[in-house]
Amino acid sequence: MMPLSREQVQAMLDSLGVASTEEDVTEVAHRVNALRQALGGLEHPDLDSTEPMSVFPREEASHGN
Amino acid sequence: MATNEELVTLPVTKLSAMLRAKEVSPMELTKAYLERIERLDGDLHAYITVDAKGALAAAKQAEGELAKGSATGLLAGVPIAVKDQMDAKGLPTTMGTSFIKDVAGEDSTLVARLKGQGAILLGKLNLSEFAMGGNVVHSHGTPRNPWDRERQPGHSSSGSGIAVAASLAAAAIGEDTGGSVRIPASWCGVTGLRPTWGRISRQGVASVSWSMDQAGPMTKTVEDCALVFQAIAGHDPKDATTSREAVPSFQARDSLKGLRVAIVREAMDSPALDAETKAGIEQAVKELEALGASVTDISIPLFANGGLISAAVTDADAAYVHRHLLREHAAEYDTPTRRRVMAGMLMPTELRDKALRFRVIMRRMVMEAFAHADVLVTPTQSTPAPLIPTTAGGFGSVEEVLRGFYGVRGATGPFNLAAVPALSVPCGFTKGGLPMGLQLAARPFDELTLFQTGHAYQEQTGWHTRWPEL
Repeated sequence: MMPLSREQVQAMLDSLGVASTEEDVTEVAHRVNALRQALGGLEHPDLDSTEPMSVFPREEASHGN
Repeated sequence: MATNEELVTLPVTKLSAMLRAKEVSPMELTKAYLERIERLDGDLHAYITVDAKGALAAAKQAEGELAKGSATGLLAGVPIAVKDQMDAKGLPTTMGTSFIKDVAGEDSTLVARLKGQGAILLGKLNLSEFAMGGNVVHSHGTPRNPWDRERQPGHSSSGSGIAVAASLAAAAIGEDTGGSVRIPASWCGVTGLRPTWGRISRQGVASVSWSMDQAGPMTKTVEDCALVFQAIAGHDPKDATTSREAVPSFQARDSLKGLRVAIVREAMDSPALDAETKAGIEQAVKELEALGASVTDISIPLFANGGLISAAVTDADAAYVHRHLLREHAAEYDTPTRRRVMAGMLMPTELRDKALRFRVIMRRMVMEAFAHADVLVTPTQSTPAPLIPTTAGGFGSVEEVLRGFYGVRGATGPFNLAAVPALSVPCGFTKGGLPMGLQLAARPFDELTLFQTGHAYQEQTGWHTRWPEL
């Protein structure tokens, strides 16, 4: 995943109607690029066969003791 | 007869017994806390709102009920405070901001349950802006660590940690999205529980991330934690995501014989873990072993990425929560909060989906670890409380974000992602006198094992009986 430039970050914030300062844009670019680099580069063999979930079924939560 | 200064340092279980034995009255106890808040909170900034009038009225009512013998609640006459993220009728819920001042028209379910169990609400506690952690300018005063006022108390339930450590409430309620109960518990030297997701109603609790948020007790002892948990946990028809699992009542174990404890290798091998904290955890594990537990170590390969994945899931949810507020109030946000929310708004859906897939894999790995252990052990935080930042600073590079933003949630985030309960208990002090925290995690809905393990550990070590001199 390619890093975003300051100009691209500025354009996206503008398109969302969010007011930002120059300093905001610089740091937001670092934050966004950190996520793109770290999470974008994280891999696992089961990733494609795993469906995304936010909440887990209760029956899976066996106490097991 | 205990003095006021002695009274306020007692745990809830002891205070409750004294109240029922009429050795102290709810009014005397409430006044003792209010006087202490008046004396200390101008500097510590644990509270955003102190409701002295409401607390004294509730104390008067509790006094009558205890005198008549009709007070049956678990927390009858006990003064408690809640994070200013939870609605309490007639009081503002600010979320730590300068611009949200709405007065709640009704109690959140958890505040209603506290009151229903006889607790006296002293007020609403300070927090990081929007419960997100990392802000620098606190609109309601900079929260300070009672062990060293130049240091942070931990985020985001900062006031809850301070209030318990400084004895400004008998117990407090925090909320933990990525570690926000356990981090201040660790740095303030108190006990804090992040329950299983779905244990405690989120109705009337302002959201950070719906699938990660969970309120939890912060107390002086594990036994208190179990008691407050019992008072507030359980199914709520107003929150469809709450569980119908039975809520356990606390039963102590004298021995931990038969308990299988596993140290998470990745947490102990983290380059961010400081030497004193590592030694403190190793000593704590020896204590668990001396109590009869069998100890081994275990690998959760994804653990080191828990802070990253946890923050990605949270920030994607938070982008929705803030979609109107940020557009209307961007300049009123504290700088780090504003930039964090902005970055969340620019997260590609591809990465949000990936974070949720990794969440499932993390859950699977944590559940596999529980096939070999009843309790997983890590440090709660890799360092003791850092100094309070004096400037906004900000992240000057991608590397700084990776180290300073994702790293701080390193040991707590994995258990939020896995939606399992985790408890932080004090496990000693650094040479500089700062508290350290031991994190214990258990299977979903098995808070009882955490309470039993933590209680046995506290009975063995006594770290939870030390409080700052104020």
